[in-house]
Parts: sequence; C-alpha cells; structure tokens
Amino acid sequence: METELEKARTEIKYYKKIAERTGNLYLRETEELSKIITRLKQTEKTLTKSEQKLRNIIEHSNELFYLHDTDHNLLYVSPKSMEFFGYPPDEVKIKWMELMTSNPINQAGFEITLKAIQTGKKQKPYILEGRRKDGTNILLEIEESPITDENGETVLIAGAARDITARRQAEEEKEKLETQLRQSQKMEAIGTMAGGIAHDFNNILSIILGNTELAIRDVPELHPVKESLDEVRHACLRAKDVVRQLLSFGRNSEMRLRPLDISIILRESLKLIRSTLPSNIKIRQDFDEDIWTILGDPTQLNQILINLSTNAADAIGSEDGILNVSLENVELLRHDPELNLEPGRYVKISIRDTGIGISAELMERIFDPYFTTKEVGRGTGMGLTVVHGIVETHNGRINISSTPGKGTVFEIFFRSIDAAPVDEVPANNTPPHGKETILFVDDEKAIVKLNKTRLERLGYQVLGTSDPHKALEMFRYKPIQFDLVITDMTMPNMMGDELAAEMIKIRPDIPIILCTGFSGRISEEQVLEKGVRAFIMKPLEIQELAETVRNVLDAGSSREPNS
Amino acid sequence: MKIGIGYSNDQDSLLLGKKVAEKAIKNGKIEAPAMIIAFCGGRVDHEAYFKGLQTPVGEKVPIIGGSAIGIITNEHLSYEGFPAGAAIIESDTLEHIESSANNLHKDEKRAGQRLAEKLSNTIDGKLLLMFYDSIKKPPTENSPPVINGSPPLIEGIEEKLKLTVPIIGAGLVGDYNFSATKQFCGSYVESQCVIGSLLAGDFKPHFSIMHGCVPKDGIYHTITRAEGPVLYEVDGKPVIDMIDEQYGSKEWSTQLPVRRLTIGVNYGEKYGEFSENQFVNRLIAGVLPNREGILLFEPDLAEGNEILFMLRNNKLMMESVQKNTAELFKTIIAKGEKPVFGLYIDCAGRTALISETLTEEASEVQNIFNRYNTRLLGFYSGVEVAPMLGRSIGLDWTGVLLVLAENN
Repeated sequence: METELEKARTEIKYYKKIAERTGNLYLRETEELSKIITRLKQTEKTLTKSEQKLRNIIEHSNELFYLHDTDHNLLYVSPKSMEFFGYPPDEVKIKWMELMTSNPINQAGFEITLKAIQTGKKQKPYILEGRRKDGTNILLEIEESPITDENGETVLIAGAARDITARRQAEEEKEKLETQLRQSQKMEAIGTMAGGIAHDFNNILSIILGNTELAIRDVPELHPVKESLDEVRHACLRAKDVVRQLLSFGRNSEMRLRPLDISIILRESLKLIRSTLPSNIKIRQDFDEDIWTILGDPTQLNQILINLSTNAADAIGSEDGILNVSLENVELLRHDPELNLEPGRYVKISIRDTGIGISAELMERIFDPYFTTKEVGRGTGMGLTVVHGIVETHNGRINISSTPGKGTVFEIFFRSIDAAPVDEVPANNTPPHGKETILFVDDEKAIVKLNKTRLERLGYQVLGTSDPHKALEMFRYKPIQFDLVITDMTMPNMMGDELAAEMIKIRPDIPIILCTGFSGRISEEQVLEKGVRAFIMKPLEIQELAETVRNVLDAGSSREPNS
Repeated sequence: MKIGIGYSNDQDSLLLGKKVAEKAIKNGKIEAPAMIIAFCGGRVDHEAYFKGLQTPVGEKVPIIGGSAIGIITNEHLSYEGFPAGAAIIESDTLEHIESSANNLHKDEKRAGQRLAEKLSNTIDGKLLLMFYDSIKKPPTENSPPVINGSPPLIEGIEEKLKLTVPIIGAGLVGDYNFSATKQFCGSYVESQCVIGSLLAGDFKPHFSIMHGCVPKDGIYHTITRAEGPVLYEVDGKPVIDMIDEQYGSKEWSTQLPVRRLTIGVNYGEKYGEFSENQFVNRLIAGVLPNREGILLFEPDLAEGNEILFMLRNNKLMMESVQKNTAELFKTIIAKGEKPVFGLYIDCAGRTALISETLTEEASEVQNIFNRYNTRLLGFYSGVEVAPMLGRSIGLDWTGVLLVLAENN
C-alpha cells in the first residue's frame, strides 16, 4: 500500500512536471510567436503608413496618376480623375479611350506611349486632349515612365497627367492680350497720325467744300455744271464723315445720342449704299412698320450699315447675290443667355447676305482689329471692329451666324426707349444772315479767304488773318469793333484756345467760336468752360457756319463767360 | 427609451465633444436628453470635451464616464488618435440619480462608502453604473503604476448601499502608459473620483462576461508572501524567479502590463472541468524595480490563497465573445424583451494591438449588435466590474457586456 502510494506520488510529480514543462513551452512558444507577430504587425503598420503616405501624395497631388499594361489596359487611376474628367477612377479605367477627343495631337501622344513600351525608355512629355463629363475639353500634359522586368521588357507604364487647360488658356489669353496691346499701340499710332493729317485734310476739304458751295450759289440753277458741283459737295461731305470716323479711332469721339427712329436713318443709308454697291448685288429692304424708338447716334448707326454692306458686297464678290436688310421690333420675355440680353423691348436690325460665309475658326476673330481675309489693299480689317465698337457704345448686342458657302447674317439689337424720336431739324437751305463785324483767324490763308467771302456774302463785315498774333494785336487795338471772333484751333504760333483766352482777358464778353479739324489737346467741354461760345468741326459747311455764327451772335453778351 | 450614439476622432476637444453630442442627438432623434454616458481617449482634453458635450444639451444633463483607451460603437472602433464617444439617453420612465466621491487614491473603501451614502434610500434602483479612476499613481522610470483597488471600493459601496443591485462598471485608464485619468462626475470633471449612476425604471438589465484565459498547466500554487497588490513569493519561492523560469528569460518583466501571463483564482471545483466563468484573473501590472515581486492590478490576493498561472488565449477570447454575446441576445429575445442599448466594457488588453489578434474581438460584439439593430457604446478599460459568483467583482482581461432591454 505504502509502495503504491509512493508510486502514485511519483507519477503525479512526473505528470506535474510534464504539465509544467508543456505549459512553459507553450508560454515560450507563444511569446516567441507573439514577438514575430508584433514584428510583422510593425512591418505591416510601417508598410501601411508608407502606403498611406504614398497614397496621400498621389491622391492629394495636382496630377492624375495611372498605371497601364502594355496592352494599354489601365490598372490604376488615381482619384484625381473625378476632378479631371468628372468620372471616378473605375469608370475612367474603362472609358479612357472614349474620353479622348479626335484632336490629332492625341494620335501623336499614343505613338509616344507605344515607343516607351517598345524601347522601355522614358520618352518626352506629350499633350493629350480629353473631354470632361460636362462636355468641356481638358488638355493634359503626360509624362510616362516604363517599368521593365529583369529582361528589360516593359511590363507597365506609370504615368502622370497634369491639367494644363488653365495654363494653356492663360498662355492664349496672354498671347491675345499681347496682340491686343500691339493692336492698341497700332491704333494709337494711327490715331495720332490720323489726328495729324486730319487737320490738313479738313483744311483741304474746307477749301474744296467752301468754294464748291460758293460756286453752286454763283451758277444759275439750271446750269449743267451745277449738278457736277453738287456731286463734288456731296463727295466732300462723305469725306468729312470719313475723317470723323478715322478720328474716332484715335480718341473717344463724342457720341451724340438722341431718341430716333432708326428706320429713317437706315432708309437714308440704303439709298446711299444702293449707289455704291455693284449691280450684281440686289438690295432687299424689309422694315416693320412703327419701329420703336431707340437712343442712338445717326452718323454711327449709318456707319454700321455702310460697313456691314461693304463686307457683304465683298463676301458676294462678282457673283449675283442679295443683301437683305430687315428691321423689326422684338420683345424678349426672358433673359437670352446667348446674346446676354435682359428681358425687354428691342429693335433688331438683320443684315443678311448670300456671300461665301465665314468659317467657325474665323468667326471668333472677325471683330478683332485689323483682322481681315481680304487681299492686301482691299480692306483695313477695321470695318467690323468699328461696327462692334458702335454697337457696344450703344449698349446693343451683335450676333453673327454664318454658313460657309451660303452666307452670313448679322443681327443687331438695340434696346428701345419710351420716348418719341427727335425729328431731324429740316434742312434750312437759307443760311441766316447778319451785319455784325467778325474777325476770322486761320493759319491757312485759303480758308481765311474762303470763309471771309462766305461770311461777307451773308452780310457780315469780316476781317481775316492767318496769323494769330496779328489777330490778337488787331483785337487789342480796338476790342469793341468786333462782334465775334472765329478762330482755328491748331495754328503754328499760337493755339486757338490760347488766343481765345487772351482775347477774353481783354474783353470778357467777346463771343468766340473755335473751329478745328482735330485736336487731341482740348475737348469741347474744356473749351466752352474757358468762355468760348461754340465749337465747330471742320470742314465748315456754309449752313452750319451761318447757323452757328447767328446763334452765338444772337446769344450775344446776355451770356456771361464761364457761366 | 431613446438612445443616440455619437462618435468622433478629432484633436480639437471642444469640437470633438460638440460633434459627438450632435451626432448622438441626430442619431437617436433625441429631444429631451436625460443622461449621457461618455468616454474619450487619454490624449483628449477632458474638460474641453465635457464642455463640448454640454454645448448642444445644456449643463443640466448629467454626464458620467471619463477616460478610456479606446471607443467602440456600432460603426466605429478606435484606440488611436483622439477617439471619443457618447450615448445620450432619453426616457420618460428611466429614473436615475448620480453621485460621485473623490480622494479615491487615499481610501478606496471610504470613497465607495461616500458614493453609496448619497445614492441610498433614493430610488428603487435596478442597476448601479460605476466608473472610477484606476490609476492611483502613474508609473515612473523606476516604478510600475499603482492601481486603485476595486475590491475595497466595491466593499465600501455594498456596505452602504441599502439596495442589492448589480454593479456594472469599470476602472478607467486613458492610455497604455497608465497615465492619470479623469472622470465625468455628472456636472464636472475630476481625477481620483468614483462616479455612480443608480438606474431605475421600466428597463431590464442583462449582462454577460467574456473571458479569454486558460490555466497554463493546471498546477496550483500557494501564495506565501503578499502585501496589498504586490505578490512576492509563491510556494516559498520568489514569484519573479518562477516566472523567469517559465518564460526562459527575464524579458517579460519589461512588459507593462505583462501581456501573456496572468494570475488566476479558481472559484469552482479544484480539479473539475475547466469553466471560464469560475475563474478570476489578475493582471500583472508590472515588476517592482528591485525585482522582488510583481504588482497585481488588484490587491485582493493574500497569503494562503491558491493561484494558477494563466495564459491568455485568443481563440478562447474570440469564441467567448461570440458565444456569450449571441446567447445574451437570445435570452433577452426569448424573454419577450427588446434590447435597446448595450454598454461594452472591454479590457484594454483585449485589443488586437495588445492581444496580437488579426481581428478586433469587439468587432464580434459590433456584428451582433448590428444584427439586432441595437445601439452600442463601448470603451476599453483597465478593470471591469460585474457580478460574478454571486457578488460584484473587479475583473481583469474580460469584456463585460451590459444590455438594457424593454418589454416588447
């Protein structure tokens, strides 16, 4: 019994030892295993962190990253795809090719990728043009790196795409701005030049116009030369308008807006256009009745029709064609986003031709200054720029639609106003007369002579001189003898406004009329502020001259200078 | 009863609190909050978080809880960064009264008594939720952390609380370094406190304890020298030497707490079939600087007690949580009740990080709660308190799941 107990105790000790050792072994093993797991976890964590870091870089980068195999199957596309194309990466993976436009630069790009796959060498960056979900285009600068296997064979292409749309637009914008700047400088130069020659040109015109008007009055009504003289006068008046238009590029020409019935202006313009357009072009006129009143400058509106008609004629060329000018009232009930017109009542002018039309590419540029498709010497490239400028200054809108080979339509909208048109003052062919004494000053002797004769024929006593200093001396000698002084603005020894100022110092109530062909030196308002009573543009028409002289004299000394 | 659960992880603590409360209000369609159970990671500025929680609910709603190593909700589980979560409870039938006691580090039992004195004779409570500061003294370079003991605290509570109610709660820790923690004491934030909320009303509390340790070798040892939470000798031999031998090295003593080995006491039949429900485990918080003894998480082991060296077992841990959670829900449903809210108090050692599992043990709890469409708030704790073997007890390395149910 004792032996059995001893044996059992030994056995228990033995089993306890086994259990203890097994337990310890398990503890040690699991501890070791734990260390391995901990290390693995740490490694995994480091890898996860590193991957996260890399992912963060990729996902927060401004570039879209992708990975494709040698068959161009996209294996990875970074989430930037959403921003670039409006599609999530998985969709972009599938429809990459669909997202590319038909722009030939894309083909060139694919060839560069192909070369990278074939050679396993990095190629130069290239440009791709894609289309976003919203239909707009995106320009991508692509830089790809081939990933090769141990044999140097390309297995993958890793690429980064940078959105350069904005950059390219900015570049284009910059280029456009630079062009505009150059054009603006060119315009400025022309303006200066135009201003310079305008004075001389107007003087010449003044002489031709004035003498023609004198001759018209001298020849009998039914004399055959009268008709020719009328033509000369008519041509002078057109030349005067041309000079005025020319000057308007050099400075902000003053617009004289007034409520008007544009149908009257356009009818008159079409009469003139009819006589100038070649006979192969038929003019059709389709005007609604009771056209609403608009606020406009008749001369400038006339210019619109002239310029657009000239363009139409050029577009029609020598073939038979039709120029259709229509005028209608239009009421917009809601905002027109295309024309950017608010709801309201408008008068719409449509000028339609059956010419060669304008291609979509050229359409964007036709209002650019100096842009012309005409042969050298046939067009200045300013016609449509002028039209655009006039429409803009009238707060109007212009819309062009064109089908190459079929013709072009210009639609111009002017907002109507609730006012009755101011009728043109009917031409009074009898210039007003007078007996007052006038001092006439102009550095051009022929102009002095011409206007002296004109004014004398109207009954005035006229003293004329081409020297402003002499004029000042004459005035200083006996200021009271003159009822009115008419002086040119631009004179070599003394400017007209300086002469006027000196005279006003001597006799503050002396009425002075300043006339000019061009002056960048001083505006009409400034002149009037200095006490000059009126400001008239050369060349002077007898009617305008006579009326201005009479008006100033009749206002007389009742008006205080500087009032 | 309406429950809203909020979770967020944000460095701005004030914003964190506001976000958590707002999410909970939205999530639970809360209109009149009755109380808030809230926890946050140790790196969170607790005062700011508390104020943030109050922003959308006002200052009158009591907030209980405090530091946690991590947060568990139906959708979130995190113990990294600045995790925070809260459950906002709204109920017409829920009665609750909150109480707190400070100076826990000076006398756990007295703190427990003071807490219970304030709760006694108030309402016919069904459950006492209790959270306390686990860290008596954070570790220094030369010494392991000193822990506030749950046995004297619970003893103090039970002594003064006239009602016999189950105590479910936790000893709070804020990080794995055992740094100082803070408690949300209803209307203020404090350290070295115990906060209790006695709940009564038309709800039924159900709970389950998840285990995860098995005896290393089944050999019983007798404590021959112990003093408070420090265990010096077992079977007349220095316990340090015994553990060195078991590991085959001294490396284990650098672990805070010791990860794999615990000390277990079997309250069941000595050589009977292994039953996890009969074992109470004590975590080894660290080793004394002179390597004279080991510091346990609780001071309830004394000379003459028989102990076993226990090993953490991940497989058992996962099986336990899956089985016990599912069974708890089945029991509730079988009784014709509807589970409305779960509070999972999970030992911080059971995270995948510490237990080296590939999946989070608490994710099993999340899955089952989501299956039953029941709101869940959980947190990682230092000590779990739940009734076991007929009395409320502080537990280590367990998960305590409390489910509040209502009659269908």
